[in-house]
Amino acid sequence: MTHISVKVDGATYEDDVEPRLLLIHYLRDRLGLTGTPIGCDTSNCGTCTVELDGTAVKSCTVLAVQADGSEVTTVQGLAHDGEWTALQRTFHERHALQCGYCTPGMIMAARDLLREHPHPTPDEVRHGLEGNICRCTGYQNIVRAVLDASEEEVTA
Amino acid sequence: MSETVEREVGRARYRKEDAHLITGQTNWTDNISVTGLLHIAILRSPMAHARIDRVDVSAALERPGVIAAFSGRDVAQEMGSLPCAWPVAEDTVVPDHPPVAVDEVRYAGDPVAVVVARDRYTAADALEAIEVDYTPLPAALDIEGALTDGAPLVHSDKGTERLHVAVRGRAPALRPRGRPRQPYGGVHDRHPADPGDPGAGAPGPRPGDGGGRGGGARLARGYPAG
Repeated sequence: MTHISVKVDGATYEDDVEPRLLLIHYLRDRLGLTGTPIGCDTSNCGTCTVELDGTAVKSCTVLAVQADGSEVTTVQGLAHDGEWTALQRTFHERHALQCGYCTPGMIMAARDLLREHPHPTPDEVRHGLEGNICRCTGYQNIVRAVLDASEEEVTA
Repeated sequence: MSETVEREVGRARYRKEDAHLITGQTNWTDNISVTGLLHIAILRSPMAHARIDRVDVSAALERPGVIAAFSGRDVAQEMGSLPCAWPVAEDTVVPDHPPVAVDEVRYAGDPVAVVVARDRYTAADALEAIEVDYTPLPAALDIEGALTDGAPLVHSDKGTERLHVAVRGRAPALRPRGRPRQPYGGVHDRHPADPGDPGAGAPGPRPGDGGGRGGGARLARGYPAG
């Protein structure tokens, strides 16, 4: 067992974990933060994307011990006092989700994209989100939602 | 004085169900945990085609935290063969389809044995303790090759690789004139499972169902459960 100290969505957790425990299992099974789903377990689908110190990572391919001393942000940590972030709002307004399973990962990956490319072209959005799979929307509205959000001020 | 009623047809509507989906508050099937929930791990064939000479799960059973371990034969004795729910034509050939391979593996990834354990890591570890002896068999790697005479058969007891003859498209009268029917010439890729599009289920009674009744399951197909 290895001792870790991780700040997740603003709260600090101290835990002893097996060195091989995956970050996604730590978040879901240990902390009960089930807002981040698991799609494939193999880093194909991007559903489990979270931010580790401000960079998007697929949490099924990161060990919990790698997050020691770091700050993790999940989709559950975005809205404050019931107020959605720009991406959450534009995903809703643009009908950029149907079943919603990929949405947490899409939004977290899109945040990372917009930090690197604050004003992306549609091609850059598609390229930037290529690691995230959606089975419902056909991506058109996801791209529109990200472009809409890029025109607003996005808080990192 | 007249009151104007706004037209409903053609009017854009925002979805009502987005609030929990975009804030991570949905109850997905995978979130459901019941007391005593067990996890399985599946040992899969590393070969495209092989005879299974022996499966021994006894060492896996000795691992702490392992509740049960099954070979394909164990599972078949309990469950038999999975039925074909939709034989699409009268001449459809329906081979046996045991849920876990019994005598032969027919693709890389074919399930060979199953471990049930207290948690998913213990289950996955215990797969290492399962012993399987294979005798490799020749495999056909594309559709065309599989249909040539003398090609290795997926189900040798059926004597053919042709499952049925499909008539695609509408009735011949509706096919554009002069356009002959084309034989199927598709290429099949190494098809992975479709992440994000699973069927899922959680066994056990729903909370509030009156606990003592026992059976039941919550099922979903990529949709939230509740």
